[in-house]
Amino acid sequence: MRSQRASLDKIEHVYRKNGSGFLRLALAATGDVERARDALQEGFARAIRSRETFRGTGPIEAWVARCVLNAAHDTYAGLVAVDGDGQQPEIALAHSDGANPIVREAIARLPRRQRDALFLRYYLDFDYRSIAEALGVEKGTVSATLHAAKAALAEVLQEVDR
Amino acid sequence: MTYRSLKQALDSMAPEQKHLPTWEDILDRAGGEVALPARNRRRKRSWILAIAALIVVLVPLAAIASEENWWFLREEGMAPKPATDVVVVKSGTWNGYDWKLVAYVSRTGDICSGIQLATGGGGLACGPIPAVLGSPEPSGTRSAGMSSLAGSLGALREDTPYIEGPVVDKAAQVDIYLSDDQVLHVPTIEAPNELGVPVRFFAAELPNYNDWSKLVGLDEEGKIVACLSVVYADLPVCK
Repeated sequence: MRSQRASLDKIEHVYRKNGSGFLRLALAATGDVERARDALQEGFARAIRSRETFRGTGPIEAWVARCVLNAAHDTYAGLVAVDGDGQQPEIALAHSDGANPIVREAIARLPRRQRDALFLRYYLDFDYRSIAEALGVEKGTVSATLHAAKAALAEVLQEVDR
Repeated sequence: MTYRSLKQALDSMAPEQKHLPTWEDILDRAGGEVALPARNRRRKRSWILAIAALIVVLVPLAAIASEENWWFLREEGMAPKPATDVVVVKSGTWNGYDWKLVAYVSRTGDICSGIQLATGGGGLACGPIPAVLGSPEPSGTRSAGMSSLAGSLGALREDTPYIEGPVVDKAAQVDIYLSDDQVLHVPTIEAPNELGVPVRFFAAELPNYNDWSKLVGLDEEGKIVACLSVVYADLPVCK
């Protein structure tokens, strides 16, 4: 099988087609608009710089999503990131536009892989194969990961939606 | 995923944004001639030929400009505006990637630092270090005497992960505790005078994408002078 190359044009196509979805992915992963814009730019920039390393084992959108998530997960740690209990929340919950905060907090508390799988499914409408490529896991793992996320949220969601 | 509240929560966590960075912003961030689309390369070449006579004069200026043309200062609001020059603290090569550790003090009084790739792009983080800048310690926090940014130079998180950051100038070494119980002993780097604050820096390539658990700054005598632990930090571990 011929391997697919990640040309600049293909990466540009991904951005022009669904840049807003990737920004939402970055925003969900960082919790901050400016950090999200930064992660979006850096993620696509990394994809461009490293496009020769794309092996074409999955969709290019998934590989770019992996780059964006990677940039979003670059971690800054300092005084401002540590709260009074000495705990660093992984996601800042900055928005409050009517959505139930309990659900948002429950999502934020999910393990990172489950959260990322949920975000990829929702914001980019990725299928299991693409999610697997973006997370660097086997396709069979994705179903279990999403199931675990849903199970972890089920109690809260049933309570809220009742 | 049929829960109404889940959809609402996900929509509110990441609402649609009106303004996307432009593709040109991203190409700019990616850096390097190779990142420019062919049509732009052609345009640039013509332009260069047209003013060939001027290039001899302009080259030294252009070299200076490109050195100062950091991506994080190009777009308004991308990073705090600098109060000092952006200085190169150290240069190096990890895994074939040429990089520079750069830093500046912002007008908001933060210390900003990050690893920048020679080909363009990189990371940057800004934050206060009260012990260094003399700013009041925020209530509900504690003085760590350091901050850090962890990322990777390559596209994927496994590709050349690193950690860097500023630390109080008493620190001669930073010990990086990794999740697999390895400890890296990293000598700190003196900051250029232009920065004007008593601070040193550390930078290290991580052996793999370990989640680090703790950073400890030690002075010449091995006494702890700075400490930072992430996620469920526990102050006693720093003593």
